[in-house]
Formats: sequence, C-alpha cells, structure tokens
Amino acid sequence: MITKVIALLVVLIVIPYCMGLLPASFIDSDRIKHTATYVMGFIFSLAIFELIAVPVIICKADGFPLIVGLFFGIQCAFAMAGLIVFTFRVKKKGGVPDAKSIKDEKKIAKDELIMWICVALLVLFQVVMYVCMEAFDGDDAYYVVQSLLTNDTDTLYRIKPYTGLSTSMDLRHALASVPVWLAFLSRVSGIHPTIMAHSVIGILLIPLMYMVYYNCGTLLFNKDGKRTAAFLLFVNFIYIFGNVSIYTGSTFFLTRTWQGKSMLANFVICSVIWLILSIFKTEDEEEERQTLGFWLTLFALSIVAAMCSTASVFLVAMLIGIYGITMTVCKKDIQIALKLMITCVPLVAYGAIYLLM
Amino acid sequence: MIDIVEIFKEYNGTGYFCLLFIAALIYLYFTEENKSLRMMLVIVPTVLQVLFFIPYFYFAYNMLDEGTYYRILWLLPMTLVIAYSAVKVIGTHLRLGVALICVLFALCGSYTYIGSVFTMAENPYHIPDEVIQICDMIKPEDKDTRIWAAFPPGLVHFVRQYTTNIMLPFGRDSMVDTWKKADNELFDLYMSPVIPADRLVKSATDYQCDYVIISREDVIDGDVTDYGLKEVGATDNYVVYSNLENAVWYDVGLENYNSALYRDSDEDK
Repeated sequence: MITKVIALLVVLIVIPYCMGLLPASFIDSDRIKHTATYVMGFIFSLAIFELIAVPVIICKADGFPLIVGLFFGIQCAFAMAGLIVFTFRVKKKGGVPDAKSIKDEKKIAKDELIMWICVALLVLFQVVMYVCMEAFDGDDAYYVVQSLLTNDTDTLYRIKPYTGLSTSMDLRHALASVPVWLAFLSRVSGIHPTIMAHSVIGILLIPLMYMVYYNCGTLLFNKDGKRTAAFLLFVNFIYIFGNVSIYTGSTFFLTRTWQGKSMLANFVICSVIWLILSIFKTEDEEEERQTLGFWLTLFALSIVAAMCSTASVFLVAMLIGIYGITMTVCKKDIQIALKLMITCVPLVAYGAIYLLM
Repeated sequence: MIDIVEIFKEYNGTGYFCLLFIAALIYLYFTEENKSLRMMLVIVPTVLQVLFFIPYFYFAYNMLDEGTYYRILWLLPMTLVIAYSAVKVIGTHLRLGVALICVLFALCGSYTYIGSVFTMAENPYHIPDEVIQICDMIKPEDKDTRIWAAFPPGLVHFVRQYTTNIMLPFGRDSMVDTWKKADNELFDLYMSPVIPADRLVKSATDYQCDYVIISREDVIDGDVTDYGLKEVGATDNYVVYSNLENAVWYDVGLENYNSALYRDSDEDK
C-alpha cells in the first residue's frame, strides 16, 4: 500500500512539479505560485504522454509497455531539465516562486483564515464524496474497461470493451488517450484501473481544478487574499450546486471526474482561460512582462485538450480563436492572433489525423 | 433554431444560473475598469453565446459531432464570471455578502449529491458487490484464459470493469436505443417479459456461453436445468448457472476463440 502511494506521489506530484519549473523559469518570478508551477507541470506531463501514446497506439497494437517505458523516461528527463533550468535561470536572479506570498501568508486576517478553511473543507468534502459515493455512468463501460484492457493485455484499442472480441483500431477514441494514461498510472502503482478511475485519480483532479481557479482568483484580485478566498468559496458553491442539468460542466466534474470529457469541460477549458488571463491581463498597457512560460503551457494545453476528447479539437481551437480575434482587436496587435494560432497547431494536426485516417 | 433553444434550455435547467451569468456580464460590462479583463470576461463570452444561437454554426457543428452541441456552452466561463462579479458586488461587506451569496447560489442551483444521482459506494471499484461476487465465482483462475458468460442487461455495464477475463455475448452497444444497435438474440430474450427456458439455453449455447446468470426477478417459462444448465452458485438477486451444453467450450482454446471471433465478424457484415 505504501509503495503504491509513494509511486503515485512521485508520478503525479513530484515529477510534474519539477517539470513545471521549466515553463515557470520563463515567467516573472513574482507572478508565479507553487500551484501555478504544479498545474503547468501537470499540463506538460499530460501533453508528453499524448505525444508518446498516439503514435504508439496507431503503429503498435500491443505497445503499452513501450508507452510506459518511454513516458516514464522522458518525463524524468523533463523533470531534471526543469530543475536544472530553474536553478540556473531563476535562482541566479534571487526569485523563488511564491516567495512573496509565503511572506504575505503570515499576515492573514481572521476573516480570511475562516474563508480559507471553508474553501479547504468544501474541496475536501467533494474529494470525500468522490471516494465514498458512486454515480452510475454508462460511458464507463467503454472508457474504464479500455483502461483495464490496456493494463491487462498490453493492447491498445484493438479489443471491444463491451464484449471482449477483437476489433480494428477505433481511431476516434484512440486519439484521446486518457484511458491509456489511467492504465499507465495503474501499471506504475499496481492499483486496479477501475479503482484508479473511481476512487483514486479524483483525489488529485478535484483539487487540481481548484488550483486553476485559485490562480485565476489571484490574478483577478491582484493577490488580495480575502477576495480570492471569497471567490474560491463561490466557485465551490457553484460547482456543488451546479447540477442544474446532466449536461453542465459541474455535473460532469463531480459525477464523472475521471473521464476525458469531464477533464475537458473543467480543467482544460478553465486552464485555457487562466493562461489567457495570465498572458493578457495588465494593469498598465505599457507594462512589459515575461510570458513565454504561459505561451508554452498554452501550446501544451492544446495537446492535452486533444488527449481528453476528440470534440475538444474543435471546441478548444474555437475558444482560443475567439480570444485571439477579440484580443487582437482590443490590443490592435496582429502578433497576438498569430501567436494564438501557433498554440492551436496541435489541435489542427489532430483534426487532420482524424479526418485523413 | 427551435432545436438550439431547446438545447440551451435543457442545458440550463431551471435557468437561474444562466440569469445570474447574464446579470454578471451586464454588471461587469459597466463596472469593470480594466479594459483587457472586460474583453476577456464580457465580450468573448457574449460572442460565444451569440455564435451558439446561429443556425449555420449549429449545422456545421453537427456535421463534426452530432448530438453534443451543448458542449459549446462549456466554453462559457460561467463559474468564473459569476463568482468574480459576486465578489465585486459584495465589495467591503465581506462577511454578510459571502453568506448571502452562498445562500443565493444554493437556492438557484441544484445540489449535486442527491440520491437519484449518487448512492453510497459498495466497494472501491464503485460497481455493485453482487457483480464482484458473481465474477469471482466464475472467472478462470488462469489470467490468460477467457470465458463467456451471459449476464442480465442490468449488470453488463459493470462486469468487464471488474475483470476482462469474462467476455460477454452482448454489451452496452446492444442496449442504447439511440445508437445503431448490435442485434443480439440473447439480449432480446433477457428483455422479454417471460423468458422461454429452452430458447435462453439454446441461444446461450449458440453464443458459447460457459455461464448464464439469471435474475431471481425474471419470469422463466420452464426450468433451465432441464435444458443443460446447472446451478453453481447464487447471490441475493441472481442465480449462476454453468452451461453443460457448452462444455465443449469450457476450456477456450485458440481455435474455439477464433471461431467465435469470425462468427462475430460475419454478423457485423
């Protein structure tokens, strides 16, 4: 049990955080927090997984062990690179992510502290409900079984999850490799893929999404802790009471946390907005800031979007496109549109693969 | 256009959160001083909403992915915009404001963890305990061996989430009405109000099922044990039968497995 937990902590927390230091090194150190570093690392980690998994899925029917080996190795290499680049580039300047906020935390007022405790309790409540309660979803008969098949047989999308008979590769689903990622986590930790999906991965994915909102909050309220706490409290309430229909992002988030669609509707789309806010929100029009890390993360996020769902190829490209056009008009700078177009290249590539094959 | 409005209505349920979102957009449009923020949080969501209602856009989307048009609404940063404007509205009256807004959200929305959506998990797999009991009874000890088993439609979603060593003569693809359903005689028999014992056993044997699981609530015309099934176990709601008629398939060798595969491919054609 302890080994499984340690394996998961390394693969899901330590390595992504170290990877996040890579893009974080290209952002002004006073604008980056530990949570942002981690979220960026997580995005890079998933993007690398997708880049490795899709070619293997297409070319090698029983290529799961290859994915496991390659991904683990490359992920470790990126984590090392992150540590090295961070050490040389940022520490030289004396900037450490979150250093300022750590000092600020000492001055937390009582009201604010109570609100932060409420936020933590609400997130914990959702995590506990994820582990202890079950919501039936028919799609699990495909996605979760796909993870189990991958882990059990090493084959990739060549067996019908519903019955167990052989089939030709299902490209539509194969391009979205979240089930294979869950199988990877199962292989590394030794936890049954169904338990991984239904009782483990949400423990990370739920707080992860609130980390994205936390970073949005600190941006929107200029690091005003009190108002950020109130903001997060409201976000939690909207999610918990957001089951107004079976279609909303919040319903997907809490009833099928582990599925790619849910990750798309919540983590991916929210991260796109956070990154765009991080890049474009300025207090002063003349303000010069280093945002390369956010741009790189947005590029990686396009790959993650494709990993979550085939529909995201269109949805996320559309979202980035509309932001691109609007911000170009607003800032009167054509470069914005061009840069945002570049971040959509992975989505266009996935769309082309899907249509051509 | 009517379709689009229906999708919008269905997505928004009671509509209170949608109204809050529109109110938040209007509020931010007039009060947000930061120009970039006004563009990102007001103008872009408004453009997205307008696009959503354009019929040409709806037709174009349906050509790519039919039946999921509501997902365009995922792109609206509803939660972010509502929460942000709520914080701005309460201003310095933080304590009272936070309490009131939280109550407002609770009243406008619908609590997610209600009984009709969530039930207490019976195990970490989040599948019914009975499925695990049945699977443990029948699954082969050798992890490379596969067996076939016919389960009642209510259980087929869960069986292969527990073990892929059990293969099913029909799965979810035979059950969803809106999909191009895979025809399956065994599924049709399970769904009939009265199940003829002889036809059930014959069909299960045709599908090379080593085991047949029958719900205690199913009405069976005849006794399945007269036709070659033998009771090997039971749970609170289900009886597990071994299919003696199918003994030839019991140890599924490669030849028999392939035979099953090819038969399925022929049916697909």
